[in-house]
Parts: sequence; C-alpha cells; structure tokens
Amino acid sequence: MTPETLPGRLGWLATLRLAWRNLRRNKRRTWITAVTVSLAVLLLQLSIAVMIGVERQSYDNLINYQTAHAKLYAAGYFENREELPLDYTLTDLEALQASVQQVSGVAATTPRLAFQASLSDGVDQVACFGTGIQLAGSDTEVFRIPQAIVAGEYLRPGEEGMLLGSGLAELFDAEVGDWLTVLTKTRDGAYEALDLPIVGIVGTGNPVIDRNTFLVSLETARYMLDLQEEATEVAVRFSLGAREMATLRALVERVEQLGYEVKGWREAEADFLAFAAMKRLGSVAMLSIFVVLALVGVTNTVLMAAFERTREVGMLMAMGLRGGGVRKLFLTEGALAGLLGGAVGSLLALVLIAYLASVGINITALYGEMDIGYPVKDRMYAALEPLTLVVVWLATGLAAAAASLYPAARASRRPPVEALRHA
Amino acid sequence: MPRRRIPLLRLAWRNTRRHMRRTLLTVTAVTVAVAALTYGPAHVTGILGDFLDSYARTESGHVRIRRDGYTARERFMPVYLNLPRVDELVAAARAHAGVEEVLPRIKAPVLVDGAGSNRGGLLLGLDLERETGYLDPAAMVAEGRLPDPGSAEILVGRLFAEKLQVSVGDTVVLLAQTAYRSLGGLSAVVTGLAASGMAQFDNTILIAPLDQAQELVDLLGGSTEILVFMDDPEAARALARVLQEELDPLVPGGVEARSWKDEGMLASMMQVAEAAFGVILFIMLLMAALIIVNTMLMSVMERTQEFGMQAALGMRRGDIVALVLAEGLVIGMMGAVAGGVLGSGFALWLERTGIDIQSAAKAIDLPFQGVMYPDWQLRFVIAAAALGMVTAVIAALYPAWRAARLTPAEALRT
Repeated sequence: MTPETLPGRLGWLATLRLAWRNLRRNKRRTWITAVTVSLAVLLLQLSIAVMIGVERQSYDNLINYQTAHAKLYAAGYFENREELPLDYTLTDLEALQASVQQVSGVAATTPRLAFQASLSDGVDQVACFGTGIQLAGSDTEVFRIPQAIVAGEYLRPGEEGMLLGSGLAELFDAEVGDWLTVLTKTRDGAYEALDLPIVGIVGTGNPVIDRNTFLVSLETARYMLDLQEEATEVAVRFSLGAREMATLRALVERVEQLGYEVKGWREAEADFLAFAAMKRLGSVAMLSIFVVLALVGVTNTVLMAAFERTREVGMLMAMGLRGGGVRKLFLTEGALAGLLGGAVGSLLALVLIAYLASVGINITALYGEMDIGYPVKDRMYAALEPLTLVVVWLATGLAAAAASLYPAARASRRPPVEALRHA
Repeated sequence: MPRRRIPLLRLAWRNTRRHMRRTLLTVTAVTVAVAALTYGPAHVTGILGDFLDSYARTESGHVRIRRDGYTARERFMPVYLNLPRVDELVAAARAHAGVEEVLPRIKAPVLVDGAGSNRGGLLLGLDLERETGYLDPAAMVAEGRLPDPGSAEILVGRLFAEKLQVSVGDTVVLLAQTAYRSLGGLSAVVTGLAASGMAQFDNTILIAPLDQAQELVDLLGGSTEILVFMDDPEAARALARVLQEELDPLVPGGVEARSWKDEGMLASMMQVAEAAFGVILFIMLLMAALIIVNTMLMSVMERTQEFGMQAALGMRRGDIVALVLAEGLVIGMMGAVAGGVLGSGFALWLERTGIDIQSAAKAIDLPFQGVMYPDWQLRFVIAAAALGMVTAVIAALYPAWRAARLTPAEALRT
C-alpha cells in the first residue's frame, strides 16, 4: 500500500500488487482454483478451435467442390434445384459470363450442366447426379476438382470419359479404365444411354460428390441430354480478399434485371448452416456447464478469502479505504485467479490445438464410413488462432471478476468496527 | 471403558450448517455436476433411442435376414438377390422364443409413370396388417386409405405424389427390374397419400401390398428381406447367430442374418457418443471434486483447535477422518438431491416440449424426425446422485487426512 494512494483510494497498480500478494498467501487454494478454471478453459479453447476448424474446412470444401461462392441460374431453377430440372437453362453463356466477370470481386466464372442420371455396370444400376464441366479453360478456375483426384487423372479437353465419385467407384468396385453405362433422360423425356470409360476417381470428403456424382465434359453432357449451347448454372468464384456480401450484392444488381437468379453459397447450403448452428448450440450448452462449475469455484475461493480476511478488511476500512476499494481488491483477486487458471488451460490447449491443427483428427478411424454431417475428408483439423486464444483467456479473467462480485460486495458492506471485532 | 458411538452424521450436518453460505456454494458445484449427469444420459438415450427405434422399425429390424451378399450391394437394392419361399423362413424365425414379430418386406427401385411425368421411387411391398406398430403404414395415411391386399392398389408418399402430379383415385404405372433381371410392370390405383414427417421418405416412397410387389418383381412367395423384431432388442446378436445357422441351408446361395447392433453406422455412432460422454463426465466430476477439496480444506484448517480439543478429549484419528468424510457426504447428498431435482426437471420439461431440430436434420441423411425428446429414467438420476456423493466423499479424503494428521498438542497450540 503506497501512502500516496491513501486515504480512501487505491491505485490500480497497488490493487493489482495487493491482490497478487493475497493470492500467494494461500498457494494451495489458489492452485486448486486455478486447476478448476484451467480445466474449463482447456475444454473451451479446444472445442472452439475444433469447431472453427471443422466449419472452415467444411465451407472450403463446399466452395471448392460443390457450391462455388455463388451461382447464377435462370429464373425458377433455384426453387426446383433438388430435381436438377432441365427446363430452366441458361443460353447466352458467353455474354452472361463476360458481364459477370466485370463485377468487382469476381475472379472467375464457369458454366456447368447438372442432371439426373443412372449409372450401370451391366449388373447393377444406381441413380446419381451427373455434372457437365467446361474443360477448355474454366472449370478449374472456379472449382478445385483436380486436387481431389485420388486415382487416374483429370479430364482432358475433347476427351470422352468420366470422373467418378470415390463412393460410387467403391460401390461398383470399378477402377480407372473400366467402363460404365450412363443412362439419362432428355428434356423431352427420351432415354439415352452412353458408355464411358472412367478416367479419374474423385474423393473430396463431400458425400454429395463422392457418393452420388460423376463428372463429364460439358460437350458429353449436352450430347447425352440433347441440349445445345446450354448450361443449368454459371458458377462464380470471388477473388481472394473480396468482401463476400458486397460482391454478392453487386452480382445481384448486375444480373437481376436480366432475369437471372444469383444465389450465394450460404443460401444454397442453408440446411448445412442450420446443422452447423445446431452443433454449435449443443457444444455451447455443454461447455456452459463447465463454465458455471469454474465460476462456482472462483466465487467459492474469493468468498473464503474474504471471510478469512474480515478483520484485515476492517483494518483497511478503518484506515480510510472506501467500500469501492475493497470491492476492487477482491474483484482483482478473483480476476487474477481466473487469469492464472486461464493461462494454464490456454497453454495446454495451445499445445493440443497445435497438434490437432497440424496432424488432425482421423475421422475415418472414429466414425468409419459414416456421414458425420460435415463435408470433410479423412481428417479434421483444429484452427490455431492466437487471437481467439487470447480473447478467451481475457474473457476468463472478466468472468472470474464477475464471479467475485458477490463475495466482494459482501466484504465491502461490513462496517469496520464490526469487522474488526470478528474472531 | 465402553466407547460411546459418535453420532457422525449429525455432527457432520451441524458442522456444514455453521457456514451455510459456504456450504451452499460448495453444494452448488455438486448440484451442477449431478444435474448435468442426470440430463446427459437422458439426452443421449432420448436421441439415440429415438433414432435407433425409428431406424429399427423402418429399416433394420432387430435382426435382418437377407440373401448372402446383399449388404455389400445394398445401395443398388438388387431384387435378384432375394429370399424365395419366404413363408417357411418366417415360420422358422417365429418359432424362436423372445421373437415379437417377423415381417417379410420387398424393397425395389421403381420407375413411376404418373400424369405425364416419370420419376424414380422406392417401392416397399409390405404385409400391411402386420406392419402396424413397425413401419406403421396405417399411421402414415394422410389422405385416402391403405391399399387392399390382392388388388392393384398403392399408397404414395405425399411429396412424391405432388411431383408426379397424381392424387387419390389416379392410376400410376410402375416399372421395375424383376428377380430375373427382366423388366416388370404394374398398373396400380392410388388409394392414399402417406406423410411420415421425414422428407426423404415422403419424397420417394410407394407402399404396396406384399403380393402386388411380388407380382411386379416376379417373386411369387418371396421377399428381399425379413425383419425380426424382438421383445428384448439386446438379445439380437445371439438370435442373429442362431438364425444364420438355421436358415442358411434353407436358401440356395445362403443368407446373411445381421443384428441391428452390427449396422456399422449405428455401432460407431454409439461408441463415439459413449466415449465423449465418459470424458465429459470425468472432467465434470473432477472439477466438482476440486471445489469441494478447496472448501473443505479451509473448513478443516479453521477448526484446527477444535480438532485438537476433540483429540485431547479422546476422539481417535479414525473418528476425525470419519467425521470429515461424513461432512463430505452431507455436502454430496445435498448436491445430489438438488442436482437430481434440477436435472430431472429440465429433462422432464424438455420431454414435454421437445427440441426442434427440423432445419438442421435436413442436412444429415438420417431418419430423424423434426423434434427430439430426451428420455428421462429414474436410474439416470440414481446413478448421477451416487456418482456425485462418491465424488464428494473422495474429495473429502485429503482434507480428512490433513485433519487427522494434527497431533492434539500441536493443534491446541495454534
């Protein structure tokens, strides 16, 4: 206690020093409290990192393999998109792409033709999704299919063949070089069949692609479906660092008066986002139990400390320290205990998160072939974000201070005379 | 000199009341843990239970018998891998003790021609009467009525019918691969529309009487699978083994009898849920224990003189240990009661209102209905309360040891 801060007020530095000393007076108690807090913080930090990691991975996966950042459709397509209808196609593709390309924030565009089809190996037949992709130039500028090729190779321009989802390949027990029959129905309802060799096998971790999709060149798709220069969608990739919402709005403004629909990936995958939100809510509910437990621990400790030091507090007040100063003292003590535990928990979490961010969690070993709801391949990685770690750590201090409010208020309310008389 | 029995629990009770506020705070830690441990299993059992139940009824049965090799080709739903003369097999399965019901089903992918448009769908050929309480087609009828066995009638999923643009009274034409891999056709009248609440199902489903499905796929007297439902689903594995042995020689090409516990997805889901719950449970109890240790240590230190006095008056070390442990037990009991009440209240409240996961459920391809309910059971409360009390007593061990370590003279001097 420095003389200049008395009477009546304690400077922040003096408060901090006093609180720190008080914490050290009962080291065992402080450490037990810190361990309680650190357990909660460890779980909190880990869960947050894994959650952010798996969500980010999922979003990347969706954008890279399925939804792009946004897609343009002819009016009416989006509403019926689950049917993969051929009744709402885009025709003037080059002009449309050129126009979209001018929107600031757009990096690349590519037309795609999505259609329903059946695949057959002559014995068994299964319904799935076909996608026609533009090989000369543009699909790879929007999507990242080449990096998901697990066997064989990507399609070459002019090549007749297909890229088969890994789940479908497993189902048919098919390898690169095998032939499958593709059965399609044209817009007019006529059935077409075409034999195609498997050029490559695609494993993305996204069940929609792996278990249900095969890709062919746009020309092959048009041939099978008896379509002219048409596509069902134009997929758009935004430039790195472009503001997603602003770019999307600009895109909408550009093409809406032309009678097209633009849908961002968030809208297209609203179901998935709802699923992710539910998962998050579940985790928050569970974690909040640990947080409550940790806070009870802090309250308890500060209450004991306040009780133990009743006479001391009486002395301080008799010397002129106001109630506010006493409160500040105990709040600081609680906050420091929280920060101490938070630091231990966060450091432990940092080690674990760093491991999980580089090595990952093998989800195939955990869940087998089960669809866990997140489109993630083989391993899921935690997100190592120093800022989040620090924010959560500081928040621990705040929460611990909040948990000390009650004991602090109690300690400061006692009249000095009575407190001094306390046995 | 005969020793008077020390009324440990009463003493402990009094001691915990000396600092009611502090005791209550410590109790809060146990309360939170016990409440969470009461609700947790109710939540997991409710959701998993709901899921398992609906999966068993609509999909797997408790034991599912199919032609050998079917599982590997399941996604194709190959009708050519079938069970002929199914009545014999059903009778054999039914003869076993503990078997509640045995149901043959035909599953076949079909192409349906409605009012000008055609779509792929999934045909289920069912013994409609017996299915009540299992797949329960009668409960799904949203409009019209169930088809009659023996007549070419069909129940169509409501969303499916919308897309086909047909309604009750219309005729649809079904095309399917037969058991001999040729093409079979059937023209049937739509007698009703089905709504199960599961979009995936209502979007693709067609339900026909078993005999009509047999006719369509040219499989008279046969089916593609037989589902066995049991009084005690836990005994499914044993029955599957017995049925495998017994039925295998009856079917050319052999059968595979699998219990619902061996469905890969279910097994891994339960394993992960159980492991995760175990970790959570452990950490929660550990935290509660640490809080108890902290408080009780303080309460023991405060009473150093008191213990010294008691020891000087002839109380033995064992008695002091027992007294402190009893205080832990009292704290544990109070927390167990409060936590049990809190957790049960929460579980029972949610059991009534349900948890709406409608939108989120669409993203995962599981037969979940829109609303989940926890499943509260008394044994969860008892287990949670017991765990809470045991934890409290274990947590009291260290403070008890500290109290007993003091020698009377030393303790009196401080």
